[in-house]
Formats: sequence, C-alpha cells, structure tokens
Amino acid sequence: MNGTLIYRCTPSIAWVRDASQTLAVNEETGQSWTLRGVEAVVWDLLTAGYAYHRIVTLLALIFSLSAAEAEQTLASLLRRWQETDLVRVSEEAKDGESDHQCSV
Amino acid sequence: MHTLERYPDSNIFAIPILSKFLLYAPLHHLAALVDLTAARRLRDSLLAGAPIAHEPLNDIARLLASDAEAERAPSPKRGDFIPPFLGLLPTRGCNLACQYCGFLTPQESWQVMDLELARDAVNWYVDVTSRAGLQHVEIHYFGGEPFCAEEVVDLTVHLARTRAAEAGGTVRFEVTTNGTFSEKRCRWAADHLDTIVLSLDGPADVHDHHRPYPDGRGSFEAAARSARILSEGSADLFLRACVTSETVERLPQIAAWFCEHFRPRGVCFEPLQPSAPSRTVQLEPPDPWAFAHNFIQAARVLESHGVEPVYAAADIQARRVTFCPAGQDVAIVSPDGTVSACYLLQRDWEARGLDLRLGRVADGTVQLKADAVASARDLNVHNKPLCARCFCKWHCAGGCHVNHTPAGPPGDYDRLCVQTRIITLRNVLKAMDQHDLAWAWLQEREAVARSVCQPSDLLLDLEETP
Repeated sequence: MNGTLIYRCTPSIAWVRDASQTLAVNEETGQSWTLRGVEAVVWDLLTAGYAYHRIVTLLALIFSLSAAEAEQTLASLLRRWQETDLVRVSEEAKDGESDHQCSV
Repeated sequence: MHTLERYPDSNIFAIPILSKFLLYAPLHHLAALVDLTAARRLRDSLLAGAPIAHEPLNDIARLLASDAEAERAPSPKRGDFIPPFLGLLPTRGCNLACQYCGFLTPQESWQVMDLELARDAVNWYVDVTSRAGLQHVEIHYFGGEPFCAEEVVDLTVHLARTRAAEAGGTVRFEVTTNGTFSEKRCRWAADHLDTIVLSLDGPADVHDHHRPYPDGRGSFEAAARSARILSEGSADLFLRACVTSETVERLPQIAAWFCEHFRPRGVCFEPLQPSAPSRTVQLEPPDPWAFAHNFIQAARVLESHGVEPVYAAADIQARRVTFCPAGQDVAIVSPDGTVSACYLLQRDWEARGLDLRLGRVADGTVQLKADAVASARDLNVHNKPLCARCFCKWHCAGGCHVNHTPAGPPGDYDRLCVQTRIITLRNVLKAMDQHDLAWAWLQEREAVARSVCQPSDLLLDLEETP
C-alpha cells in the first residue's frame, strides 16, 4: 500500500459521551452502539484526530499493553467498526512511506 | 492586655460594624450582632467563667465557653502523604503572551511532559489514594496552557478514569485554561472535564488589551467562543478575570456583561499579581479598598443572576490552615518530573527563600523526600504571626505562601489583608441576611476602616480596641 489509510467517522454518526461511556447513533439507519472501556477511549482518540500510531502509543500506556498488543487491539476494533459502518476507510495517495492515519 | 499566650485557643472575634459589633466565632458556627455593652459582658463572662444574667446573652456565652460546641481548630497535615488532588503541568508553554503573566516562557524552551512520566505520576496517585481508601480523587491541570500539550491531557484523563474505575472509584478533572483551543477540543473539555476555569478578563477591549497572542492579536474572540460553548456543557464553568487599577471600577459592569453573554457557575475576580512583565507595561494592581468595594457590587450583580462570586480567600465555609496546595499534601508534577507543593515557578519560591520541591517522578513512581514534605506542612497559618488575631485566619489562612509574605506583627495588615477582611465581613453579614447593614456599612469608608484596621479582632482584646 503506497497511500495513507484515513479512518473517518461515518458522516451520519452522531455521538454523546460521559465519563463512563459513549453512545453513537447512525442517524440514517437508527443503528446505535454503546462504547465502553477501550472502545470508548479509541473512539475518543479517533474523533480527536490522532494519527494511528499515536493511538497505539496512548492505548499501550493507558491499558498497560505492549505496542504489538495495542496495535492489534486497535486494528481489530477499526475492522469491526468498518464492518458495521461506524467508520469508513479511504486511501489517500501520499509520497513517501505508507502510514495509517485516523481522522474525522 | 490579654495575650494570645494566655488564651491560645481563642477563636472568638468582635469586629465593629457601624454602631454594633459582629461577634464571630467560625469554629462555633456563630455570628451575631451585639452592642458594645453586650460584647463586653460576653468577654467578661468568658474571662471569669461566670454566667450572664441575661438569657439570650447567656446562651451565647455558654455556647462560646463550651469546647464541645466547637469544631477543633484546623491543624496541619500529619501522617501518610495522601494528596487531596494531583496537579499536572503538561507544559509551561503557552500560546498567549498576556501582558501581566509572570509565567512567560520563550517558545523555544517549552517542555512538554513525557507521556511515560505522566503515566507514572497518575498510576502512583491512583495507587496511593486507593490504598488510603479514597473513592473519589481529583486531577487538576495547570500551565502554561495545558491544552498546548493536549496529548498529555488525553492520556491522563483516560488513564486516571480507567485506573480509578478498576479500583471502584471516580475522578474529577479540573483545568485552568485560556480557552483559545479549537471548537472540537472545547466540546471535548465540556464532555470530559468537571470544572473549567477559563480566563476571561472582560469584554473585548479589556481582554484583548491584557491577553494578546504573541503577534499582538487579541485572544478575545477565541476565549469568548469557548465560554459560549462551555456555557452549554455539563462541566462547571468558572470565569476568572484579572483586575487591574484600570479595570477595577468596571467590575459591576463586567459582571453584568458576563451574565448577559455566558452561563458560568461562578466568576472569580482576582487582583493583578505584579510581575516583571506587568511592570514593563505599567499595569498596576487595584487599590484594595476600590477592589473590595467594586467586588462587592459585582457580587450583588452576579448573585442576582444566580452566579457565584468567587474571591477564594474570603470563603467563609472554608476552615483551613493553608490557602493553597502548599501544605495540603498536594503533589504537583512539572514537565521535567519535579514534584512540588506549588504550581508557581521555582524561581518565584526561591526568591522568597522557599524550596517547595517534594520529590521526583523516577523509576516508574513518585519518590518523595520526607523532610521536604515536613517543611511544606509547616507552611500554615499557625506559623503566621500576622494572622494570629485576625477573624479571617481560618478562611484565608494567610493567603499564598509565595506572593503574600508580610512579616509584620499581628494586625499589620497589607493590601491583600485589607480587601480580604472587607469582603469576608460582607460575606458574613450576607450569610446573616444583613444585606442592608452590609450595604450601609460599605458606604462609610471610615466605618469600614474601623472594622478593617483594628489591630486585634479577639473578643478578649475588646477593651484595648479603639
């Protein structure tokens, strides 16, 4: 892959959060998700615009994971969210090394 | 003369208010207005241990003479070091160049807290408080501008919340900020933080004059936008305005303007703390009499809108031996890993002959020095002779240990004392629903001066009070 993978929140998703959870709703389909724990943290960092590798770093520190475990957790979560259309991924052409980047 | 040595536990005060005396015993939870004759009879009764043949007065005398009816006098911290909150300084850097700011750091020397260091500090704090059985803990962010190092804020918020939840507890987050962050970050703060203290000095002309960006542009637009967004959020919003000699007469109007445009829970007016930058641009602190007078007028405006006026030193609900984090066992972690008792700059403590370093974050934990903790605990009102006979002593506790250091004898009050004593008296009278008396008193400068300048407030010294 030569471009940058951009993970974006699906445009029709709205969310509210409090100290313990995030509630996300697809305003077109009515489908909803309650995100807690690591899912809520990833959603928060993703929507804050952190790059993929920074989310991995932060997850490792927050949940006492190795970098590999954190990366696996994030990749798995993004895959699942992509499958349920909570996030969408696109590839943007970019010179130089490839990277994953999360943005909204 | 009755000396403190003979009456070391005396916490009963008498302050003249126009033709009456305010009898004030904060540890007995008593405030009463009496005339001079009644005050003298109470004093004599307490000295002699004899009853008064006047039932209402005798009830007061009995209450004041009874140790069982009084709270214990606040005492300095002892025992294990258990911080009531963890202070984090994600960076000393800031994106503004406020005219009066003594924290200014050249951009090239900005240091951002290392993420591992931040993690270690939070883990230590949650472990210490969890072992002590605390269910609810607090993290406060100071700066610089904390959101100039937002990754540290994001990490520590999520980490502390996760760790506290594992221990069955919760975390409160408070940030002191200039509010010039993005709209997205502002909404994040409104969702995730519990208390946001936003610096906003007033309308655009005041704020932009005081708080420009380094390129000279004013920061009002960004700060006011944040204040509007935060007004709609669930976090408690406190607006904090720095008051100078130029703005002090505008406090009531600024208070009204705040209430018209935002929905803060409270508004804090703080007199300018002189610094090298403020002297350069000739910004001066307000006259303390003018500050107190205008603060009280502003307070009435705020209260009429249901907004809490804040002048922290005059909080009559407080019973404390130290006003600030120093002496409370608060641990404040700097970007370089130093753990200290104070969030001011080290050069400022050192200029006062203080070393407020408590230890360091090292080897994955916080390492404290026992002698440094003991020294910080000695910073308390019991060791401030100036405060010994002042009715405010358990509320303001002598104020900031770094910036308020008068070395005079009891009653040798300085500008901070003057404004604190006036505002505290007003707060006590307000709590007694004596609004008209408070207002009438405030209109007579000589009467206020009699109240504020008496060298001893002790009831036992009443006879010697002019």
